[in-house]
Amino acid sequence: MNASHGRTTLHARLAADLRARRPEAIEELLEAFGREIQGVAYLIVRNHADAEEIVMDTLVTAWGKGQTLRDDTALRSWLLTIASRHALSRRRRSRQWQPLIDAEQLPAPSAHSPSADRVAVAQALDALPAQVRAAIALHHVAGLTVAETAAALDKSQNTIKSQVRDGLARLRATLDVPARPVGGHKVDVERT
Amino acid sequence: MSSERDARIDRALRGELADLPFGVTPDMVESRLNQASMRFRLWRLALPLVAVASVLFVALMVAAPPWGIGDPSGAPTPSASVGQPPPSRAIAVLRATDVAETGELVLVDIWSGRTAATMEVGFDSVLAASPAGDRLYLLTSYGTDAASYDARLQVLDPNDLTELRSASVPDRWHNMLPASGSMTLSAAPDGERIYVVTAWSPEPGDNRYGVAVFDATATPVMERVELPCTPSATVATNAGLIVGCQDQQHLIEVSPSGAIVGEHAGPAGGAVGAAWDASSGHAVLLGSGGHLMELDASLRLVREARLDTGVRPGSLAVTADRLAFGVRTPGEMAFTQVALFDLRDLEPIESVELAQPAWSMTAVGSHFVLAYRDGGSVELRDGASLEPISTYELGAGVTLSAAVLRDEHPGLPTGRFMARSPIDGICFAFTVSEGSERLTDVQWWQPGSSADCTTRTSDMVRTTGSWDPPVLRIPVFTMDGGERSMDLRLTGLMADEINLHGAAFRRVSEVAPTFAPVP
Repeated sequence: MNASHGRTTLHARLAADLRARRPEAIEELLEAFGREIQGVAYLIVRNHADAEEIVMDTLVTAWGKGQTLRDDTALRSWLLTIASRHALSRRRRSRQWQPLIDAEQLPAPSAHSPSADRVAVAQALDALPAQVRAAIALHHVAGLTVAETAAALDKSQNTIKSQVRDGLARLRATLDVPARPVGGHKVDVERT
Repeated sequence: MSSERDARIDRALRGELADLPFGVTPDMVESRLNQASMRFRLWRLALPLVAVASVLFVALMVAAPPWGIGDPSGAPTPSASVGQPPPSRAIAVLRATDVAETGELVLVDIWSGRTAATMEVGFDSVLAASPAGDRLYLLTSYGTDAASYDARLQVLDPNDLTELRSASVPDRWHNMLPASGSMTLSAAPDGERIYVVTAWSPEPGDNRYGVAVFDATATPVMERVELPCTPSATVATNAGLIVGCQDQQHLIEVSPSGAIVGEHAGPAGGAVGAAWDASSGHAVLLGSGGHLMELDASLRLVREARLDTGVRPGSLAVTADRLAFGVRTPGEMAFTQVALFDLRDLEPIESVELAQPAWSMTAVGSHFVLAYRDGGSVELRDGASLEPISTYELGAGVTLSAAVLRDEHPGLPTGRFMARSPIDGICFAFTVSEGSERLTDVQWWQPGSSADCTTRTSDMVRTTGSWDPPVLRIPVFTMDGGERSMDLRLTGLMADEINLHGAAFRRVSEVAPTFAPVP
């Protein structure tokens, strides 16, 4: 309760600073949401440098549109919405020019490696469409509701449910596990 | 079992994200904000006045006083005396005047420093001139009422800034400002096309960029094409528009008909500056790491080099034999140093520390023009040495943001002129009337023995002449009684006043050479 109240208070203050365009708002938003924005962006674009660019793009957009934020409690989902749209936009633009990576430079997954699951999940995630990754990133990883995710990605709720269900099924298939319905199992992206 | 394996997925995702290094700092975001809009910085600095958006040299087809005889009564006047003839007639300065996002376009007479005309414009506008210098093109990102986000391309008369034509630019950005610098306006060297790089957002956070192509003579938009990248530098050629992409080593080629017709290798790190070298007909592009590429009209690589550009070069400008760019310090959009290179061999010539940060630099003729961020001034510098020639103060507290180079065009002076041909030594005089391309009241005569045109040893012969090309047609009487004519090009040096098309003319109020009989 206290943590929730404290978070609500923090978000209200950040939203107020943003609306007032106080210079310190940028640093505060970066500290509060930077890594989470980066995480969502990275899951969509699958590129670290692009993810950091999206963090900056997101805060720039938030700065320019802060006055349109009506509900202070929606600050986090609003930022993640902006981030996901920047990520999809960047992904769409960069599609024509993928960097050339020497396959020999990629680490080979090892069945004995403690990170075998990570390698397998990462490769499976790479193979998913960006829209599906966005749905998973916002709903399954960041914990936005289906309605919030649908609004963020401008899709119907049924589409989001379907994308998350199918996407997770493919990730599970990578681990050779049976699919299960979309549930409330969330991953906490590291937050500060 | 299922939740256990879901947990493995979650651990994998969590671990991947937790291992991501996070290098974004507030300064980096602020720098990005500065790119997106100057407003952030200016709010922080609490400046009441903001930004001259661009500065442009234009040629005005109006009467010009002889160089050095500007009207001293005008204000403001140049703060430094000009040691050589200016490259053009006037400077068009685009200023943003306050945080209400309005601005003005100001024409400054280059001789006197006087404000010749002003016009209110919207914020974040872009300015360019036709290669002939007889038209100004103004792209306004949103209107002077700050309520409309529609963009408008206006064609203006550079004499008085009256609007000649206008056209809307489709699908302009809405609801927020585009990134500063992504909007460009370029006129093709042959004057046939105007290329407008615009941004728009079909939905929040979804930024799109495109090129709208206009027929320069008729203005209505011909075609618009979406770019597959964020533009970072553009240069118009007669064959189309070359677009450098932010952080991408690719160039997009847009045809004069408005289609993407090619993708080419660009400078490493992505183009940060591009300029048109009129003397060679080549495009010059500079990458973020100093990679310089020179491309011919077919976008074939002519030569390339690696220049020492410091951290982040910007504001590339090219004259006939010089190349210059600003050297920025990290985290700053403005630059405080200018590096000058010989365009022929790309050897460094000079590096000059500026007294104050400059937003941008352009080349005009053999000169460079700097627009300073603070202090509201535009500075004309010699192209060969970067020595300051003249400074134009535009008002306290006004900040400059950009300078846009346009073609040197000295304009057609009016009045009575006198000159002497160095080839055959004859003297001639003629009158140029405003709006006329003919030379009237043309006379020629043989000067006295001292080659002084104020004396003569022959009759004064009335003849004809034309301005374009600048020739005199002199009748020649042959031995058999026939007559033919000889065209005498107006080249050579006679006086030290105005140099036009290779001929130096001395403006005189009246030519009345004293008569000295032929010995």
